Amino acid sequence: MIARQQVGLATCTLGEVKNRADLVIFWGCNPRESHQRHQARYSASVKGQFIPEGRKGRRIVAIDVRPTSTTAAADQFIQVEPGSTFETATLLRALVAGKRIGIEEDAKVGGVPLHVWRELAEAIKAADYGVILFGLGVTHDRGHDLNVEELGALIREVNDYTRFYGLPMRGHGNVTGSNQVMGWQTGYPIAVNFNRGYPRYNPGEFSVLGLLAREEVDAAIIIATDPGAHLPGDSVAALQAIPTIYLEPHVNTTTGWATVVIPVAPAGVAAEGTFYRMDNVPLRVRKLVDSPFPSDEEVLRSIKETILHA
Amino acid sequence: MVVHEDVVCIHCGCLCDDLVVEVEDDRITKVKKACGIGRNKFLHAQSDTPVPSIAGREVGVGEAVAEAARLLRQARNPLVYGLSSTTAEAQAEAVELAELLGGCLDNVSSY
Amino acid sequence: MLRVTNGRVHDPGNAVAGEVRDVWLDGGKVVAEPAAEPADVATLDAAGCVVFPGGVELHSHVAGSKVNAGRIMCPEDHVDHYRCRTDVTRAGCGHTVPTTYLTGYEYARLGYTTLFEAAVPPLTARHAHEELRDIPILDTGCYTVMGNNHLVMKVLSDPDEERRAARLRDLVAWLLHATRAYAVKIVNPGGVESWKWHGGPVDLDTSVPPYGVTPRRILTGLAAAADELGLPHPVHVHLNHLGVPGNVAVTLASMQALAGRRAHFTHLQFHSYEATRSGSYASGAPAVAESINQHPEFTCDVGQLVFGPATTMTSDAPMEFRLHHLHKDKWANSDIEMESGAGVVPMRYSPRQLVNAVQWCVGLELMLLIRDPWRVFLTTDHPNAGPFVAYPMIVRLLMDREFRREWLEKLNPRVRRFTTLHELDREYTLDEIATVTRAGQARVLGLADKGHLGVGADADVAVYREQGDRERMFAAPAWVVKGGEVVVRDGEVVAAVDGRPLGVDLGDPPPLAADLAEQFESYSSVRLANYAVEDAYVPDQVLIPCAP
Repeated sequence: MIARQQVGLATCTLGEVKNRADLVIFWGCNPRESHQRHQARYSASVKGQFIPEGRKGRRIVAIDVRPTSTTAAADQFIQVEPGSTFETATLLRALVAGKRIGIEEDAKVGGVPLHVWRELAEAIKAADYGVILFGLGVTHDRGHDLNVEELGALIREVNDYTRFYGLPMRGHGNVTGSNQVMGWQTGYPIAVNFNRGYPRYNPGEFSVLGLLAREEVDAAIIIATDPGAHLPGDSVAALQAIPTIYLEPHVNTTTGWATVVIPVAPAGVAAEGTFYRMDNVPLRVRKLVDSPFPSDEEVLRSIKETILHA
Repeated sequence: MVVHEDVVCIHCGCLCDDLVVEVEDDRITKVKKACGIGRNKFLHAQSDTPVPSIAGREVGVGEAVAEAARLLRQARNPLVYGLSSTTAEAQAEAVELAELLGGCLDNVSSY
Repeated sequence: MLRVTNGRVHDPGNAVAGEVRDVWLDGGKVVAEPAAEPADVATLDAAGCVVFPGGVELHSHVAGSKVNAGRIMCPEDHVDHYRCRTDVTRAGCGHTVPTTYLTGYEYARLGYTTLFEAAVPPLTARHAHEELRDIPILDTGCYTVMGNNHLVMKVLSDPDEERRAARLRDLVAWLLHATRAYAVKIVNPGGVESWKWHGGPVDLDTSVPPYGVTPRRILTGLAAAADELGLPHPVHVHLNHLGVPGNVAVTLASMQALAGRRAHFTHLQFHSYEATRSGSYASGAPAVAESINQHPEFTCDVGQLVFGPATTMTSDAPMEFRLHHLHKDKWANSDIEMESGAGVVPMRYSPRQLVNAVQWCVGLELMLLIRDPWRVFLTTDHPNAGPFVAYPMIVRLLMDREFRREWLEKLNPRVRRFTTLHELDREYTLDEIATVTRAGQARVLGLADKGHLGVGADADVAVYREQGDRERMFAAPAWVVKGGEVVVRDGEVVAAVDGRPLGVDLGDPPPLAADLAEQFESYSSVRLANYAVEDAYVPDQVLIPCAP
């Protein structure tokens, strides 16, 4: 998110990857484990309008710190050292721009010989429609948002030669929707503070980790997310020290300690509404069965109205 | 039995929208085309349901909602957080709640 | 019942030009003066005021994927422009890309009550409707982009002219219904598809891959389809070569191609440039204005430049890439499968910058040279040429030639060599302002109940205190009434009623043709069954009839 506010992001929908991408680079992600149908539906074996051969019509490169099932299925696996994303992205920018690199061809950058990167840079420029699909291995590597910023800069510079885009491999259900909704209602996708009656934005200061580390919040309502599975231990401990309200359809570790637990109808199973796909395409999820419990939306509205009419 | 076609999966950011879900007596009995994780998500969606509770004591949903409102109103700087696996419509309600409370609002993409 | 009394009424749709008369409102409509004084009547004393119909905005970017990409990308736009939550309003922030709630309040605070989002790709139409639902007070609708749509181009590639026209008509109806939209939008026809093939800009007769159709065929085909379906609003066209010196040629050629068909040309300022010998910008406004003057079947809006910050956002992806290269600042792009593209680039226009000064003059030249106010409308293509909150200042520029002269002095002095604005003396009248900001816009939108104050019109009224300084006058209405309720008093929102979604009544359009459905299922990333926007996104949509 922060990288996007620095350089923007040139991207496309997953159908464009399917129909056009002849070069697909999986960088720091393992969709064969985490997004299991991604390759078959959108990015590798799928037959697209202008990639009628499917897998054979695409060159697939995987960049990761360790071998995975995704790297095993790629045409080329570039195994990099941890913490090298920024450096290697910078190198690719320089190579794409045709800058002179003052090291030997077999000298290593990120643990990989320069000539491998040079060949990749040439492949990027030679592609008709290339994409980088990047995951936690990029966003949570040393450098964090700066890595994404550097990839974003690389992607936009390649557009001087051909079409080239980046897509984050986003995780749980509707995380993308939370960025969108916060965006149109508050102006900011994350980390908003309403203490002064209007939205203020400051990642770090108003991010959940910072707020909990400094013990700045004195109650929390947690919705459709398991902090036990997402947050580091000391953040969870900080939550356990304050009153917490937890909206969740299933028993998990957090239901064991939250002050108030409110079971809800699971979204997309027993409650309908809008989910945003990782490429920001909105789809309607359905109500397939009845639940004895209200939806998140209904519970939140009840809490709001109780407070308004108190 | 009701067969739902072209169902959108709620597991990951792919939102595969070609699932076939069979429902019998208001229970999901079969899920086709989904990946293993997605299928489990649907098949187990109706089990392991928590009970509404306050400090470990079982209560009705109405009472839990009232206590939630009381705790949030009482707080000086409450946090509204999470919002991953829920609808945009619920997320919009959460934004307004944070605004009404004058508190903080964050999701899981800030870290 | 509500009576607005003692005001000078400017209702050009009913040929009322500043006469003092009462306007009666009841049940959300303008009603005839009751025979006897009703018991429960509230009165707004508009002595010293002018009374206008509520403002109608026919081209703005306020909702949907690219707008939100702009919001998210540009926190620096929001930080100094914010509103606190009140008892009646939500909090919000943003200057050129305000949050949805703030967008509604800011439009209402200028006297606007109807608003259209100008470019929605079908694949993300749900998103646009979600945001439009969160724009309070105003009635809203949106246009569906079709000028680079694969199904449209595939149908247009059919050599059989008759079959092509019939199939396109069905497809357009299906797309409009699937997206719950109001009108057909064309953005850089063929040019966005060409971008995806890293092809260059397209001219009117460039054959565009993969279907080999030309922008000419896309323009004329969709214009005919909109006409034959009897859509309330004609095809809404963003031409090729936006922002490029010399583009007046493609603009005039496109108008020639569409002659005899109804068409609306949007943000024409961006399409009215001659090229100087060195390839820089000169005004092409006189020729373009003359073309509009000669074709009563055409309307246009201006896209007036506003000095200061702007956020450019359009489905014209290649144009945004070109803009990005001006400053190498941040750039967002999103290619949308089988349909469209989008780009966002933040911008700042400066009066000392010769190109910007020329652009500023071109917009005003168009407004002053096009003689019929029913066919040219005030827009800033918000937020592309500037934010809509600049409307009061632009109204003053149109009404006050001294003010225009003062501004000309502040521009890069070389601008006089490349434009004719300094030679134009015309000053708009209040009636003409009422026409270019509501009456004319409502008419070309086919909204019979908007933009006028005759009996049966929607009870949307804006009351402004007469002042010599027209900018101040139009910046803070004394009252704005929406659907019969006072929503703004002295320039502040006092009630935030819900607006209604606006759509077109296409009856039950035929299903997508089998070959197109097969193409869709093969190459889209979503199932056809999950493509069309559900009723839940447009609750109680008001459907405007078609007249085929």
